[in-house]
Amino acid sequence: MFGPRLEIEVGPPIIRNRSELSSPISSGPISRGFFRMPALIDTGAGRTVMTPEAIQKVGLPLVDYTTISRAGGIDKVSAHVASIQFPRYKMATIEMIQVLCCELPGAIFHCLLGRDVLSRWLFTYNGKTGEWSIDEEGLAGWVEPPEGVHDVFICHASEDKPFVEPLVSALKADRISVWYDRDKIKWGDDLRSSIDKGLLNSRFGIVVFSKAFLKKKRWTKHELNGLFAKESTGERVILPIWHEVTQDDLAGYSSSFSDRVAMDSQKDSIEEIVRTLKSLLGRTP
Amino acid sequence: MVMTPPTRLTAELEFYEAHKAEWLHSHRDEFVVVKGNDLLGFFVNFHEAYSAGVGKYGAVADFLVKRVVPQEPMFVML
Repeated sequence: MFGPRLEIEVGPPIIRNRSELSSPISSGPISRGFFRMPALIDTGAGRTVMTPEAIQKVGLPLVDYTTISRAGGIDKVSAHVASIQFPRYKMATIEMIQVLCCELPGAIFHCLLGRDVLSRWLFTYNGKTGEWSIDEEGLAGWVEPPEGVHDVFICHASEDKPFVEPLVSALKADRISVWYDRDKIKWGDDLRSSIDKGLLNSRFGIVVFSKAFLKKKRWTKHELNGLFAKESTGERVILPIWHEVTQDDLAGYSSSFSDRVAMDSQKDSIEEIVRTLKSLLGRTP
Repeated sequence: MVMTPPTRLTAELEFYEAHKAEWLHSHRDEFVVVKGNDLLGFFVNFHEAYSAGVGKYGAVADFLVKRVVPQEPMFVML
């Protein structure tokens, strides 16, 4: 009758500090806790939505207002912050996500899980039987909610910041939209996952290959080939930059890897990299 | 078209609008945190921005977390 639905627990956002996990942030005057409710998966919703009743019940913090367009017209709605758990499923908790406050027809469901949540999963729906499944293997706990596709994302090791930050500034100065998350690589070694997530939100991905980057993870030939194989799949393309690495350094990983066409930070200036990217974006260099 | 005006965060939204043009040049696509007329700073993602806001203002107070973009996104609900 309704389509894919699952039980969720909604609570205040969970904030982790650098060293240890903290519990959900402290209670305010409104009683805060986790409330269980059924949620409908809605591929037509760009963002996850909850009813005013549900948001008030949980006491979700307000952070912004935004605009939604729906059958009844255009509404200005409030945006809140939440965490979502899936008590009956072996799925990772979404520790922090923005949810929009909006009345839902029929008051049957108090939450529609939108594409910002679906972007974390491989969701499969069998229309004949009504069965559905969710696979989240390989995805990390936090994915930036999609707010439009960026021109480029930059994946790099934190040690290479002296090269990367001027590059980011130069790209932004030329009005190239950059998704640049300085902490992603510093936190862990799941570089393939980080790159996959970056590509979800960007037309191109600049990957800065340096000695530090290669040390972050023990890359295998299979992984590197798989990384570059993405170039043949569509619009989103990985743009490698060799940064202070030699042919010998790269050949140690894979001969096909070292033969890749790439820009070289020791030969190509930042201005040249920006010009090349603008050309790829179809903008006047 | 039904447009309900915000009833909270009004000072923060006015502060944001007053500085938006300036911030689009210097902090485009970043997330700004504002409370009243107090600018906490700019952050690379929402997670960092909200966490910093809680660190400064606490979990109970209202504060604005907004992405600095030229045009506000409109989310479609089908």
